[in-house]
Amino acid sequence: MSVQLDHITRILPQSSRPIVDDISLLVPDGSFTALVGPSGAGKTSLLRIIAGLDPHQGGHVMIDGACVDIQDARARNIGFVFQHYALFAHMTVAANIGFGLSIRPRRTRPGKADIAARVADLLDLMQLPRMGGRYPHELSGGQRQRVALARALATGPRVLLLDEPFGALDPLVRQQIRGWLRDLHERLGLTTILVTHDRQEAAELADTVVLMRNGRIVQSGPARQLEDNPADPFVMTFTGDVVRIAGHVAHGMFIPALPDIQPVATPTADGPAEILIRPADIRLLPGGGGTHAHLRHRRGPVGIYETTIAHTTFAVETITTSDSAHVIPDCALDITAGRLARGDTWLERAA
Amino acid sequence: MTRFAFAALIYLLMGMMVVLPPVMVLAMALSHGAGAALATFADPDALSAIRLTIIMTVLTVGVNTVFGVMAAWTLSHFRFPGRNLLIVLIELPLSVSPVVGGLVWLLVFGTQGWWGTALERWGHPIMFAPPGILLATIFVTFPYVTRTLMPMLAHNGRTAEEAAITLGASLWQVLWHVTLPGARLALVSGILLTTARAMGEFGAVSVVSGHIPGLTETMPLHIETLYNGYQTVAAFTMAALLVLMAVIVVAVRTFLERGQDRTEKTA
Repeated sequence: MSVQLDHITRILPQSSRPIVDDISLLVPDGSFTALVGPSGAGKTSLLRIIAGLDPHQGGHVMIDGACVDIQDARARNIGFVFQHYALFAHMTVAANIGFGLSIRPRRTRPGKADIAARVADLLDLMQLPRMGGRYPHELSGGQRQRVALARALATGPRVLLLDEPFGALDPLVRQQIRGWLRDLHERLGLTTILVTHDRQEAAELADTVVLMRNGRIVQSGPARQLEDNPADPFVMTFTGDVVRIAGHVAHGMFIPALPDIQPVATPTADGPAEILIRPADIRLLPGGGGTHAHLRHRRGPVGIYETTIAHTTFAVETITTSDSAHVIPDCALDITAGRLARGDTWLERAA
Repeated sequence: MTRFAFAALIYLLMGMMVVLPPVMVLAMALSHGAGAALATFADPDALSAIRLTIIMTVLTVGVNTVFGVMAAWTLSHFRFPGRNLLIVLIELPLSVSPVVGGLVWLLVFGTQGWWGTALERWGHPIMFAPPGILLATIFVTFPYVTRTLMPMLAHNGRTAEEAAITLGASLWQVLWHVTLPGARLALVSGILLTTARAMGEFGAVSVVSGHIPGLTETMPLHIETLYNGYQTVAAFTMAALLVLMAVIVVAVRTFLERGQDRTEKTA
């Protein structure tokens, strides 16, 4: 099922700034979309609006082309997984998972045996065999989150919303559950929307990454596209490691404030500016300046040189071989591959 | 050393203030032998008082549980103008003397009050009759369920309820399957507090009951009547029974809390 948002706005009472500000987004059937952004960006609010848990003041939510604005959350049949599991503490794991089925009106409620069978299937799918009789407090965090997921899937929703589901888990468990979630998404043919503040998680799981800030969508597209063609300096900073080099533009040249960094030609008007560049895009020019670069460590073929210019340390990623020098003397930094920015917007490309 | 000194002091205080009085009551009740004590229950007025107390307690607990849950749920789920005032009002019976609570009802429904005469003429008086006793008891015990339930609902938060809603649960199903079971420790606690308080209420009931033996006397009132009539053994036997009922309520509460601890921790 596709989810379409058409100019959604939500304003909290007693607040002038909208928490969700005129957002339009199409999430195609069967896709895996991640909403990322700093806290307070409105990601969770947007997710709750889609689920029907929070009201919105403007715009429409459409699921499979049909407007669901007036439908209660209970009627939308959307699976929702909360950050802190939100399991029913007084029920067993099996009762938790079967809850959505067992509360249906008598006419559409499956029999007890059918519910038990469905619960058993889901426990298998979640790799939680023989856990049905336990209580939530007897499970580990990763197991609880899988129970929460099983509970959300029990009623057979086609849309699955996940609100920072791995936030409370330790890194190893996160890694495992991620791969497994992606697998599940494909196997069940779900349309999944994930909220996370972890860009790596988003990049690894989602086909489309939607980057939000201050209630608005800044940029959306495949993770690679956001990394390689960031719409503004914020996107670039959010999607990967960035080195910022301050300076100013004069007579068609960007002059870095620090020595031993080569100027970059630009057609931009004079004024203060800065260059944002990924560490991997910085090049060392041996003999071009007066700084020394030291090889700090190697990860496979990638080596990281560090050099300190006027108390600022730069890490430069580069391909190294076994006979690469440990110290490169008298070099300068070439930052022509970077992007020139003034304030929150890009200037004319530097190169 | 200090630890033992404090412990000893507390035991001494507890012994004098809490343990000794019921023991004395029991001793007085049995001072003329078990036969004399049991003879108390041969008096139809005594049986009537016990029956009235039980009926009043059951009705009060029922009413205050239903409305207490409604109040706690509303107050913890919604923010609306006047909410804080409402919370203060709900707590009012805790701070107002029960006698005042009784007098208020007398003002409203008594013969000098607004509707008293009309009700009397109609043949269904509220004052000096069981309905008045019920109203007075409800007033005095109103805060307990709400005040014990509200912190628990606040602690549990809304996410479990929201999860139930996204799974298709109706408002009623959420309340019945998620909210109340999740807070059942506090709910049971509030209900039992209400029960204990309702059984023992004297002040408010005394004002509205009229002390008609066999008709409008609850156990505490009957005890007073007996005591004032120098029927010491009977008075203390009734008192011992009342103490026993209270102890049972407290014991049930403790037992349930224990059981809860084993099956449930916050997930």
